[in-house]
Amino acid sequence: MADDKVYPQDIEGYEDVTTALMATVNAYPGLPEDEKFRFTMLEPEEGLSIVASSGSLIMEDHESITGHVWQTCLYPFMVIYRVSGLNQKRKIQVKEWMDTFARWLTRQPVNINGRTVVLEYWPTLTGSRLIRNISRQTPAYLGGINEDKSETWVMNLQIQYRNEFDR
Amino acid sequence: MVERKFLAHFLSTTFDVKSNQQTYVRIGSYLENYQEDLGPQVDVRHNILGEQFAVHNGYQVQSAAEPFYIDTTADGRDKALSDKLMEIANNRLTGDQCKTYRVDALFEPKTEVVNGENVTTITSIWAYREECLVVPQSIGGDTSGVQIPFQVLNVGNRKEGTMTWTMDVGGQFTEKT
Repeated sequence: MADDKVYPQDIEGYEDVTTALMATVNAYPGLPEDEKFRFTMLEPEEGLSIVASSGSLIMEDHESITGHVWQTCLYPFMVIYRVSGLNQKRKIQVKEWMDTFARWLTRQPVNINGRTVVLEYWPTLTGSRLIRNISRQTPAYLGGINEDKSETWVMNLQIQYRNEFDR
Repeated sequence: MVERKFLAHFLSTTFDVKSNQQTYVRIGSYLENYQEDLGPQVDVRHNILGEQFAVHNGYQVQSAAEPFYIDTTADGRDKALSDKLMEIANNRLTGDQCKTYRVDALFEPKTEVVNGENVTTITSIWAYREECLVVPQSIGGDTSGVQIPFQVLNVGNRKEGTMTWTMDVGGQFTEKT
């Protein structure tokens, strides 16, 4: 987000979206063997993680003449891949893996092991919330080199969803 | 100040003003602004003495509902009206085929204690029903959803009455005797 405005939070939505997001990313057919995404956690040396950057933000709030409310909310998050022992070739592979994963999560067709796969539907939320879009904000980039020489690769994405209720 | 949601606007999806059975739907789920534009017909002139006078000939009343998102879900609150608007637009219907009733009503909530519990009921302070033409303006819109905005043009036979309304049962207009 480009501005510094403080947006109200959709607390229930945050929990709901987190649950749906984690179920979806862990269903990615290109996950490395024995690897699962963790939420806001990393193994000391290696691992995949999803980190919610700033909760669920209510970007727009509209109320109709009937008292019906619809909100546009954003759930920014980071995909973090921490790996060790990288040479130049492995670095490229990690970056490509993250790029492919991001394309899949944004519902673009990707090739995994010679097979084209597409995320057919946005993750389903409960109640009156509905995901409208998942978009990538940055390419995969080297976020930092840790003391143990492992590298943290990062990619920023965001989920836009709509919430409706009667006030 | 009266909350805006207590001024309610209804259209009959029956589209037959001769029928005794009218089915009213409340409009405005996604309208942040909606008004009955009275369109007063006032002609201001000056006489030979240089004095100003005005001739008030009446009103040309109409309303515009934009946006209106079509609702195709089986139990959607806007489904009945969406179906009718699409029928009018797709078949290019005109005249009496677009004629129905509109009802505008101002409600107030009243809370009473019944068996020791607070029970809130909604009653109309006033309600007026009038025949109108419902005319779709376009089909399409931006990526927020398929829209079919429409105009409501009053065509007379205005009656005062009372209106009851609940989400489950719908609306019922009773003409004042």
